[in-house]
Amino acid sequence: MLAEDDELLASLLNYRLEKSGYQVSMSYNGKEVKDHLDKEMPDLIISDIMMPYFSGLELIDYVRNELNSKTPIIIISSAGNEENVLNAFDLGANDFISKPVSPAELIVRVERELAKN
Amino acid sequence: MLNKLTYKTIFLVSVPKIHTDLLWDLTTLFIVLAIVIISTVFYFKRKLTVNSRKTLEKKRELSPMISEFIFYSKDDASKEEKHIYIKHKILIRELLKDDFDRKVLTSILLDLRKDVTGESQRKLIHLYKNLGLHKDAYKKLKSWRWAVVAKGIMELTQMQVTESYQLIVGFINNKRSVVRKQAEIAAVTLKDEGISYFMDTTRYRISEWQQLVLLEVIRNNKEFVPPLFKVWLTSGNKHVVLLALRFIKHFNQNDAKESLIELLKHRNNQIKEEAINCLREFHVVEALDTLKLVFWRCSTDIKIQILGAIAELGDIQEIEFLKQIEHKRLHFSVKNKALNAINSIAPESVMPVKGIESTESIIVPEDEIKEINEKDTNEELASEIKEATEEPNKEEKVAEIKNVMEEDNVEEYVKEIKEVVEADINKEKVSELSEAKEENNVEEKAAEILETIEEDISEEEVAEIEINHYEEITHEEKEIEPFIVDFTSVDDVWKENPDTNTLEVEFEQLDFLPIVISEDVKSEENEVDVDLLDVIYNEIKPPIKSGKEVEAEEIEETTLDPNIEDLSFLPIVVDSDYEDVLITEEEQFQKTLLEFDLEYEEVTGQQEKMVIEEILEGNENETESRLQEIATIEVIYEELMADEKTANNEENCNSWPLTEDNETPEVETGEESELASIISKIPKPFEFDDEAVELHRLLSDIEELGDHREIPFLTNLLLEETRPLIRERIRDVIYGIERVIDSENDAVGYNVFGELFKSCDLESKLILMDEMVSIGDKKEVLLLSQLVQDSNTEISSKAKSVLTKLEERLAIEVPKEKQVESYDFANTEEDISIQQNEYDDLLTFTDEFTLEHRTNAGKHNKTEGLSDINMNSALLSKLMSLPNKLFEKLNG
Repeated sequence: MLAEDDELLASLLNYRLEKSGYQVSMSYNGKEVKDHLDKEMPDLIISDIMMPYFSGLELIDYVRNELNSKTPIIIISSAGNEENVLNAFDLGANDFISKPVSPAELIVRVERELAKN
Repeated sequence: MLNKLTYKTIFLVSVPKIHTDLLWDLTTLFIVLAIVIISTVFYFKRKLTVNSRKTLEKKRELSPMISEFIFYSKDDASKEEKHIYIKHKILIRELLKDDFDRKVLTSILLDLRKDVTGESQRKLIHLYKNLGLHKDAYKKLKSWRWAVVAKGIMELTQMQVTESYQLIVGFINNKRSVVRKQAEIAAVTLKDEGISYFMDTTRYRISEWQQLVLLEVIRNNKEFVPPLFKVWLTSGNKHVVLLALRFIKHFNQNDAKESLIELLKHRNNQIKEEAINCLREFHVVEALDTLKLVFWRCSTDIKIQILGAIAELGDIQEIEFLKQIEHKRLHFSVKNKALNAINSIAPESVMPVKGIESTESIIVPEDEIKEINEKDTNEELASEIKEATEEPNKEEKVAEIKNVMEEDNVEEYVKEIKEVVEADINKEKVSELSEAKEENNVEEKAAEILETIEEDISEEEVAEIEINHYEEITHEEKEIEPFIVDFTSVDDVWKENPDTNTLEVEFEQLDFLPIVISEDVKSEENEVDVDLLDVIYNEIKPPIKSGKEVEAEEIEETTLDPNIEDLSFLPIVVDSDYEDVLITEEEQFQKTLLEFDLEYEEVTGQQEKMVIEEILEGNENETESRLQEIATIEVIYEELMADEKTANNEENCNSWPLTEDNETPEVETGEESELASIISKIPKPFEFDDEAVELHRLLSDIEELGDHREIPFLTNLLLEETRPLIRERIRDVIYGIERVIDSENDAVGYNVFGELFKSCDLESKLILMDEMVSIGDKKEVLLLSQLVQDSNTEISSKAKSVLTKLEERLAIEVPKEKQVESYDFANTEEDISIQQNEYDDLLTFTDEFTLEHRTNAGKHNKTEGLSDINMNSALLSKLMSLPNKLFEKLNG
């Protein structure tokens, strides 16, 4: 699942992931993500930290503590937002990638996380 | 109407008396205005919302397409993908035709450019250029709206369109700061040399934020090779200097030490501060002197900065300077910083003084002392003191004592205690000496005392331990007590005990003291009996001389050396009495000569006089011989008609030098007859009348400005003129004009085609000959006639045909030219014509000639009127304007 409020970037990453053979469900805000997660737990979550309604950190917390899921979570954050990244890792994020995103790098990280599980 | 109110006024409530109808009208107006404004706002808001929605939809539509383009790979693509790619490519080409779609595409690419990196970013930029979207950005640069221009620059910068560099750098000195800043960023981003160009050319202020942005841009450019920023330290723009300093610091370019030191003297505080930072960063110790020098003229902040730098760079030598600051009337923060700097250089050298309580008021409670006395703890204290004075613990104790002293300010206690101690010690020492005397061991005792004195002096600091406990110490323990030696006590001992004369104190260790001798001793030494001195007498006798020798000596003494040449540098001073006696006629002459020479250089004697006489004689002979030569010159005499009236005329310039009024007064000499003969041999001056002078002027003007058209006039003039000099002058003028005409003809004779023919090939020659038909003239006819006889048949045949064509053309053109020439002549004759009668007058140089501007068909005959005008002024003005008219005529 890809949770990103920037539609253009989301579309681009979606295209790249799909091209790499992954099935992607997209959400543009925290609310959508939550609804989606309530229905179905994906194999991997790629989430931006800054999102409307429901931030990426809250999402991690929700997944780890409310849903008690160990689904790998990759966080996308702006460069220099060290505190958020550390919080994300504390809450249980598996990996981190900073903006501007390199789609190729993201694919590598996704592959690695999925391979772990 | 206003007075008619439709509402009641309330008592004591002052409301304006406005008619209700007017109020209603105003209300209606404001409501309408409000509706208009609100509707306008809503309209624009709606428009923007619709537009943004439309844009968003378009973005959603286009973004997969762009993703397709970015991630498309020919190698990996399947047939279906290729098909989609081609389909999208066609679609996007269609979309590019629409401005709105192009804008959306541009915004998508710009947004994605920020969010992606690596290969995707490169592909994105490539796509932007491929779609030709950068051309839209170029158009934006030409916009009159500064915001659009700034947007265009930003777009080109983000998309790294390096081709736009030259266009963008033009905006570096734009008056709009936004455009300017965007251009600066673009220049630095697009090319490495952009930073150099920007720093070289910028004239405006570079804000702090902009400097940070530029630094960030450079930092992010991994391939950036920084130039040597020291070259901009001499820039006239202080902001450039500041930026250069920051870059120098950032890139650690420490090869500009001298410039950095020099910048400490800069008027601008920011530059000064930045230079100090650089110097601190690079640890430039050489800057210390300049730092100290400029310190006094700096602001408080800079002073603090300088002190910080001194603290970092300086050593113990700077402490004196820093202490100097402490005593000056400066800001307290500067003084504090100076103390900090001292402590940085020499730690703990300055102790805190502020807020430290005085110890004067601190008194040791009496009860405790009494208790101590009662308990006889003297022995314990003495042991403590002994321990303190022992070598191992001495330093620690001293430090403790120092601390106690500093804290409690016990100086006064020390003084009091010392006085007491001294009194006791003196008594004790005297008693010891007396005892020693009794025991006849005075020498040994004295030596012992001296040793103890020396030891005690060296242990003075230690002795201060007992300050607080002095009263508790007993006499038995005073061996280790500190005391100050007073040598008067020893003197007293000697006085009291004169037998101690035999005491020999070793003064070797007291040789630092000055030797003092009492006045009694001095007086005793000075009282010497002169009579008792042994003296050896030497008898000196004068030599015996003869009477002649004595006379010779007297002469040597009274007379001067007669050799005047040796004393030639001296002026001759003659006694007046002596002068009266010796003056004769001959001597008078000599004397005047001598006096004359005295004023200049040296005294002359009889020989000089002879030389002067020879020169005078020589000059006379020379003048005679020259006069004879003049007399032999053959002179042609001409008679001139000169009446008295013209002879005395002041304007007669030619006769002026020899008129009687201007002649130098004749020197009357004894040789008047000779002079008369000489004068008679000089030819008589020519005397011209006004007419001749005017004619000369006219001829001069014609010579200067005239051309071939003046020749007939001059010829006529020559025929009529009888005076040989004027005739000669006219001939000269005619000759001069003819010479000019000849030279012009020579220039006209230069043939361009002839020159070209010398250096060109056959084909070119044939082409040139074709050209001759259309532009050639008589000169070319001559050339062509020569070419007809050329050995090359091709040229000769061509020349023949061209020649005939040219001659035909010239035959047609010649009549036209003649018409033109005749017309020109007519015009020139019209421009300046001289009436025949007036012309005659001009030739005879009477006052009644006039020049006239005549128009066609004799519209105005001004001569009739002019004859009645004041002729003198007219003549002068016409003569003055003649050269101008001639000049105008020459210029067509």
